[in-house]
Amino acid sequence: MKRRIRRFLYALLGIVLFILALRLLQKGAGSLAPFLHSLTVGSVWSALGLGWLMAYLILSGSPVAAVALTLFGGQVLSDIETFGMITGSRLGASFVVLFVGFVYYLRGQRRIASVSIGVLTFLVTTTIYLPAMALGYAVLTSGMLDGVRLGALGPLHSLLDGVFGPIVLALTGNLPRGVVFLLGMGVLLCSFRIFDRALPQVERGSSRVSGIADFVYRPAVMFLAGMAVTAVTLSVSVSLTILVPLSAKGYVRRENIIPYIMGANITTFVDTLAASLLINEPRAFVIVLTEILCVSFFSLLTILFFYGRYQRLVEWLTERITRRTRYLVLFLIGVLVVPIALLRLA
Amino acid sequence: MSDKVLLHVEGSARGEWALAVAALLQRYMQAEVTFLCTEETAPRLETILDRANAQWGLAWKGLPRVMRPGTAEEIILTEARAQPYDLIVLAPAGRLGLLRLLQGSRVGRVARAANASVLVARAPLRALERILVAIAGNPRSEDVLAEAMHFARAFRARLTVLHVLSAVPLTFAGLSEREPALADFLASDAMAARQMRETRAQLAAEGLEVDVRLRVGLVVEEILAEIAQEGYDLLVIGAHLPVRPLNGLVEDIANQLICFSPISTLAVRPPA
Repeated sequence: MKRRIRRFLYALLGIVLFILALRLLQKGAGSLAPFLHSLTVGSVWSALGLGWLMAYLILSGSPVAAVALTLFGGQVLSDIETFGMITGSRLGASFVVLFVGFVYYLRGQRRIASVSIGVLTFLVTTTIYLPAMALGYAVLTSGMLDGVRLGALGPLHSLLDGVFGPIVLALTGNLPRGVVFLLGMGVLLCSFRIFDRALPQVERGSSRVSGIADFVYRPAVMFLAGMAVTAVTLSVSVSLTILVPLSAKGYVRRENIIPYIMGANITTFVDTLAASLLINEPRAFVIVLTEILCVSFFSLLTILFFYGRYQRLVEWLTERITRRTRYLVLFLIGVLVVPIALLRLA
Repeated sequence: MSDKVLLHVEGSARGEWALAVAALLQRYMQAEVTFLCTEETAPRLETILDRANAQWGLAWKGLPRVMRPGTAEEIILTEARAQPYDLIVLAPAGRLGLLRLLQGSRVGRVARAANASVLVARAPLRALERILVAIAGNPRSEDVLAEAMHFARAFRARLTVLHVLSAVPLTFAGLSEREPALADFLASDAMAARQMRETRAQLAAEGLEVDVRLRVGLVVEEILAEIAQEGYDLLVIGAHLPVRPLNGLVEDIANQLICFSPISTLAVRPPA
């Protein structure tokens, strides 16, 4: 009971800090305009590269997606660029599954993932998100979803302004905008960390359902499982780790993993969607909704019609990349160089 | 064991494959064959069996014949429920495209619903020299291995026992440890390893050739790749059994293999 109350308080504190961080970031975002201009972030490609690299730097995608929305709220990025940056944040985060796993392993932590899972996660994310990005670009430029609005959020924003307004005002009145932005980043990362503590801990081999991992499930079932678990954990890397207790030895069947990642890649936007509602900019919601709908469209298309072929292709690529250390090194160099190159695309 | 055999007879070219397999079962396993056909095929049954006798050496005179109304799937399943059979032999219907989409797979439906083991004939076999048995490495694999060994002994065939490791580690294992060597796997205490060791020892003692293989990857793809690489005559697998309460959620791998295997496939159902 005490543990539950502690978790609830952590969750509450995490949400409060999350909202505060978004407000600080939005206020400080203007200071970033010259910096982004110097990086020539002025297209969907460069924004994609920026989101991708930022996710590497802070080892997570969700804070970067939230930052992208605050930059949009501060009129620093356009809607298309914001969309590109959010997509980039997911590509970067999928690589983080591999990187974080290795780092955690070196630090003797349990929260680890294998090279294969990391490569697989990156390939699944890339092959779904890039076509989704093209579709999302068309949807956003056509204004197809512009009419979609989520209820009357005015009272909520008034309440939040009343609570957080004085704090933000005090900070912006006494600190340079750039410092406010950095402070916002710090609070955002802190909020995710605190929220992480509110989640149940995953113990390897302690599950009563270890036998479940013996079966090969229908792709749609694993897809829904990935969606459900990630909707709670908000992180693809954490929801992948939750697969561990499904198998006593920390193994997952490769037949099950791809649709699970696909599902996880959709509901990982839950916190970004919440952020879009909190920054008091209606089009921010449309951007995130477009991202979710386009990723869902390509994921479902794959699951329902091409799953066998897609699975074989991704497995084949993963096998090729992880077959030799030098192939893996080349792959790692590639996924580091590509976002840098994209950042240079005006 | 495959003593009492229900053979679905039809006049198509694919039907010949089932007749050829049944003739081999008669010759090498002394199987008691019951011939089953639809009402539409009934007038041609004698002619078909006569031709099979001349071509494959299928004995049919004096053996029981059953005619039932309905489609092939319906009559096979009805007859299998009415009488206890050890094995059902049938050929695929060869449905493709829209027909397959609408009606599904005949062999798939029979293998899923039948209460006996099912042998899907996919080629006009004249001999059965190489058998591939794919095991999951669970207690049910014992029945699958027993049936495969029964066939290997009867036909003096070379048996290959295959296990596919489809699990990927979530924990970092290092690249060099990604694919375990067969020798290391066989020395392990995994159930599949024990079953492979015991099968090899048992059949080798009887003077039969036994190979053991380990592959890493997707189960269906790896089994089909093994078939493509070697010249096997028969694939032996475990039939899909309901997994309560998860049955609707679990993939039917046996059905995928039955539908996609290019060689004759035996789906073994454990004795009731």
